[in-house]
Amino acid sequence: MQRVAHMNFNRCFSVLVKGLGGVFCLVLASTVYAATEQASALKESVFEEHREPCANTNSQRQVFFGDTHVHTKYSLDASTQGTRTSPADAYRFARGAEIGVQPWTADGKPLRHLRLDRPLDFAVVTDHAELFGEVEMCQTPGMEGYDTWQCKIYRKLPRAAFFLFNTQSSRAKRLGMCGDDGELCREASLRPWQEIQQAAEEAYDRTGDCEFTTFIAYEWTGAAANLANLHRNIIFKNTQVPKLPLSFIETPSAPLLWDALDRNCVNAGTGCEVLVIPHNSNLSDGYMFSLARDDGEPISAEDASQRARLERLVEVMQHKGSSECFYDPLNSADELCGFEQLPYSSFTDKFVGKVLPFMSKPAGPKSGFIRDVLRDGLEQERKLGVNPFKLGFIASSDTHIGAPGAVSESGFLGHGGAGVPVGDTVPEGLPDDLEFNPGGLAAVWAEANNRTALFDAMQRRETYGSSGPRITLRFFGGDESLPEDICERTDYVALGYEHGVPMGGDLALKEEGSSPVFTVFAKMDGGRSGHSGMPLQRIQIIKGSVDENGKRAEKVIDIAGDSDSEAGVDLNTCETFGSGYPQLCGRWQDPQFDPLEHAYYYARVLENPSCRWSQQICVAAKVDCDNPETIKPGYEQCCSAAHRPNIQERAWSSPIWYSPAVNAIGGHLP
Amino acid sequence: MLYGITARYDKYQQRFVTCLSQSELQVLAADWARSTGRVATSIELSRLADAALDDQRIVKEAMLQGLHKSDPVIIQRLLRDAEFLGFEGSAREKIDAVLAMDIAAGDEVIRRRLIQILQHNIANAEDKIDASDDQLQAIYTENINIGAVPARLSFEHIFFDVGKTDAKARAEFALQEKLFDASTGDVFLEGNQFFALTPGSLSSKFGHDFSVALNQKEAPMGEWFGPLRSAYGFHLVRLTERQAAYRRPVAVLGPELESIWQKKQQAQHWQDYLEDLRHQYRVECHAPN
Repeated sequence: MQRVAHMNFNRCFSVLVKGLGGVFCLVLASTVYAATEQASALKESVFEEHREPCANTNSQRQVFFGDTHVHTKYSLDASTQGTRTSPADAYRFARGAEIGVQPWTADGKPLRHLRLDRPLDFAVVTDHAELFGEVEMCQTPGMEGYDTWQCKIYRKLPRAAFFLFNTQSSRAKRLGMCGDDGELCREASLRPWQEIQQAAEEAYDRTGDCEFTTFIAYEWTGAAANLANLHRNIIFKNTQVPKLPLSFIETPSAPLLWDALDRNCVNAGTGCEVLVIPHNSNLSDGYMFSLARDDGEPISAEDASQRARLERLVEVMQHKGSSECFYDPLNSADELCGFEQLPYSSFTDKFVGKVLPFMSKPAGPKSGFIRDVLRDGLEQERKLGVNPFKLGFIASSDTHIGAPGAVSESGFLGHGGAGVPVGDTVPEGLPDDLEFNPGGLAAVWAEANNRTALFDAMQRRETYGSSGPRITLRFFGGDESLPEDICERTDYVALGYEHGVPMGGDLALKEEGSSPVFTVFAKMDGGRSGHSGMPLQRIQIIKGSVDENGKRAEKVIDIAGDSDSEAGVDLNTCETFGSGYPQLCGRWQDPQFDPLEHAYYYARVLENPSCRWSQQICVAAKVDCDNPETIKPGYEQCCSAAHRPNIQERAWSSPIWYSPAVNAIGGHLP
Repeated sequence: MLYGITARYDKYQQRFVTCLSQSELQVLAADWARSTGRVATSIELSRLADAALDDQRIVKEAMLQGLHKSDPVIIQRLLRDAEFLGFEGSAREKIDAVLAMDIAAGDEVIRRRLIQILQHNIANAEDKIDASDDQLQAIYTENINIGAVPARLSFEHIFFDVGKTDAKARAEFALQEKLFDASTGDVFLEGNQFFALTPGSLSSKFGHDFSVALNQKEAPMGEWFGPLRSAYGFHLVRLTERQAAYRRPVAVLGPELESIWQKKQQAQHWQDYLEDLRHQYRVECHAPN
């Protein structure tokens, strides 16, 4: 059996937690993911979660859908748009309750309401640690704060001002923001951070039903000197969390953040465990996955290890676009990269483009798209012996109206974040910027729906991202012992685990010179009440590699389904036509495998084409681009050249990696 | 005594807001148009102006109460402002210098934070009174979805893929011949046993029609039946457990109902407080600009 080895060990102790509501005793818990990195060895304190065992437990794991990126009223860039959803409200929404959505009447009643047609299995509120989305605020015309003097300076002198502001702010922290005895911080923790923790605790189902799981989390809202996006979500495994979230103010660079997380969480001796999930590398202008340290020197093996240990997942897609791969209409071999692409490489360029379109820098091949970053990781592994970018995939919404899981293309209200604010009234026309989308979902393969199982699954990267539909996706990699008829076997999953590794794992080939074998099985979203699911079109495997000379290669292979499918959508009505596949399975052996190269493989599953959210609204508004009289105010974008009326919804598995070094030593978990 | 009167008079003197200038109103209107894609009506513009005045009152009141002096976020922000403006000195001196410039209230982050703190303080100002049983019952009645537990089904199934030949005939044959081993059928990715699925989960995993068919009351318990059509093919099914939909009683939902009631109370306290503030603050208008 080639499964990634990991061991569990438990120890219990009780912790007194003084919450707003009084004193209660929690016995916290988790099985510990025994990653082999040095810092993990320091973890002595292990927690046992005090909860009933889940009645629904499956050793072969089951898929749980959730949203790990949710903003509520505690994010200033949400509250300034009228969002009043509290963390508790957001969790209720995720479980199926209705929330009020702006605009609000004078006596505080919402004029719009929203409810999920299918509740989520888990959700994570990730409000900005800084309690404000300063960068977004300063760059979003119409937001309160846009015209403050700080924002004016930001916009006029972005590089100098931003650098000065934030380096000085880190000094400010050292001047003693917590007071001599830390009392100020303790007092502050009783407010948003405490409420966020309490909401997560109250919404977490600790009964044997295991209906719903939450995690305590926040977003570190960092930016590079040129304002490029460096944002990361910080998710904690249990209730042992830092007293205050470590924000960009205290830790004004990603390496400083990782050091502080190690200091205040991983090595704090409290049982704190943490996961860092970068997002929107498509807006990072290449800075998100920098190979340089803060002092400009290249990263060391130790730096790479720390990063790989903390950053195990990445958001492949969300409200503000897909980060999978760069798409150049004239040069990209993979035309399916042309999916939810943003026409700029940073938020600065977004807003510059509104005024001076020719000044806005479009995304480029070095913007930070994940497929290239994964190859950078292989290259680093070749040089350093450690891959710093061993990133599994999830997707999420990044909702700024506190609506986790509201990712359907139908009835999209807009998520607000850095787009068109969901303002004081219901606007006519498109409810969000044309280039934005409803976002996606995080899918996690875990034994049961509880914090321990979900967090461990995220740690081992047995996750995938969906652009919205609840597609079920399995991906195993192994060698020729994966049976040729595995797709026909009712014990498919058992065989996959027995003869291979699941998504997120490392290949360990039994025989030297053998070529790896992969199998992907996907099942379409069954649909929801009154709505059928969309059939699948095909399954692809994407291979990225770096050979022993450093030469990079990329290949996209269709392994099941029909790439010549005539299924499509009538853009005048949004009716779909043609057939597809309810389930698809393929087994593929890499015919060009070179045992000396470093490689990653991930699966991409595509639905048949359908109408994008924007086109659904344009069709409902009876916009006919050939008849100007039908293009009412607010709907002009329906007929713009930038409008992409149809999409192919999809899911992306976490990669499986192959490393010559790993195979030389028989396999290990990085 | 005299000091007390003087202090109150000072506060009275400071309790004013400035009515919005024409240019400020224009900014509000422009922001509205940019956000909504249409021009604000006169009523909407008037409400925007009222809301802006409320914000002024809240921020000013929060500063009069000294809330900016003890909040770490605001202190940090003031220090950032001071550093950015090049002020020298101790932390206290820097903060005082920024406050003396009267720019703190123009800093959106400080403004938002002050509003947040004052709201928090008002929400928690009064001794917490527990909701009565009648009040909890009223919340329970008003919010019919609270505590609603959907029906759940546990079952095993054998799947026959329509992508393969004679799926329905093979299913019927298996039922007739009592071939109830999963290997009789085809592969269903999520397996052959399901536990406590709600109608929504059933729709996600099998399609809406299958969910409806399986949730019919006449579906037998413990016996193989079918074939039922799903979005994927045909299924022979054996129900192993059926849990009817129900609503958790008020007694069980107490903390959640209490929380909703408290939130309503807090919202009401805040509205009352705002109304008081409106009476306490005078609005000063200068010559139009």
